Amino acid sequence: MNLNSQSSGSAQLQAIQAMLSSGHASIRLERHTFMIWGMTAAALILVVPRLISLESFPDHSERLWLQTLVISMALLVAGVVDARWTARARRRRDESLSFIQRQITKLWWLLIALVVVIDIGMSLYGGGYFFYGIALVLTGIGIYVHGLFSRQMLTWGGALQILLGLTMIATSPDMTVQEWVAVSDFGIGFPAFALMVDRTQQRNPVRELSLSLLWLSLVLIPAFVMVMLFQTHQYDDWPKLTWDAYVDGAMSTGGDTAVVTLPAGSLVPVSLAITGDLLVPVEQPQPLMMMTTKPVDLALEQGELQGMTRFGEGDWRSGYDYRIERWEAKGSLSPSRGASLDVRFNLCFER
Amino acid sequence: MIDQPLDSLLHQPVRTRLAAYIAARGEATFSELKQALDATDGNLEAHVKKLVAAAYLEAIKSQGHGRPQTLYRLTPLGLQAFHDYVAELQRLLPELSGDETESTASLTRTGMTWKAT
Repeated sequence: MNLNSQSSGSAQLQAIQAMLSSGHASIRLERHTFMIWGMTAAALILVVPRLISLESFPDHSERLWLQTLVISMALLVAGVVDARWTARARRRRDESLSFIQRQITKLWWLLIALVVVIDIGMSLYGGGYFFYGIALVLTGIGIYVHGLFSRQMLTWGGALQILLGLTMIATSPDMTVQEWVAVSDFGIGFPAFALMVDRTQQRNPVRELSLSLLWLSLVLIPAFVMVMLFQTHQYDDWPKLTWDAYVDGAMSTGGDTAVVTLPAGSLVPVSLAITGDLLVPVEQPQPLMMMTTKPVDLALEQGELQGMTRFGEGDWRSGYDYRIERWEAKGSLSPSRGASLDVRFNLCFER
Repeated sequence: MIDQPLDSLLHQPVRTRLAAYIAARGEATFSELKQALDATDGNLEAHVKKLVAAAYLEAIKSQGHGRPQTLYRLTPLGLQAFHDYVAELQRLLPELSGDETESTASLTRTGMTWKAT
């Protein structure tokens, strides 16, 4: 059989090409997929650090493995529920899960596992300040890769997610800000993706830009509202005690709550407990006397530190929101001093 | 150059598109084929039956939670026939294959490489 004309042959090839493209773009993420993963991630960010906290589980290893166990189990349940609901929805519509979607789902699982591994690594070796940014970038890559084989606007969603994550890494805002942006991104941004990705299948830069701004507003405004609420908590209304009054026992005669101000120039003994495999302490280390550079307000509840602090005229923030930067360890050897090790680092409570 | 006859089963617009779609997607249900090809139930069913009868297409019954599904997949014979068909089509259009026009370039981009006979 010969072709009637070259144009019909060309049309046939174009029809084949169109169907091949259509077959390759066979990934479709269900709305519940965004809901399940987003809500799970947001809940984990909010609940796990508070449930398995330094106060409840003082041992670092115990706390780390318990957190990892809870996070892994929750993500596993999310994945299984998502897979079952997706299979059920597809069957109901008499649709199948394409070969490429099954493979990209495996990549998604690997990225999620990578997020958990990075969390463990950062807990053990530091760098936790970048965790939320990296988690956003990796989940963004997952969504973007889905989008490469989909007619949904997933590449757009993935790119936005990556952009937000990279911005967090580059600007490195307070942990409180990072935490709420991440919660808002997963808890609001992911469900918003679910509603937006099917809106248009034709590339339209104006529409994509409008949706991007809308999505960023949906994520960032609630996050910053929560940060503001967190920072302008009731501590400003709590009774204020000077350091001298606190030392004189004013707290024991006063109410249950108070804000004590440690004036600038106060001496603070800092205990450094260093352990290791090669070097172990031979005597009880003496506290290192350090001095505050500005007034520090400390929230007290029932005479105990409540965890919230304020430096100078700044905002209220978690006292655990600090970072250790620029680690350096340098060894030296001389006949007069013998072997010595000089360890330096920068302890920052403010940015 | 000896003209080889084009595969009469595949040289039909609906069946060509059907084979191309499944070749790229791996497998598809009847509903997905119907939607992708914009065909009626009766029309699609007739074409599917012809391809199944020629062993180009296999129907796989899938049991699980919910209602049973039938997935259609190209057999190795069907996939080879499709490859041969496209290669023959390209051979019959020398200027297309020589110039890497939009069509053939796009076919190459989709990852399907055609064996010239």
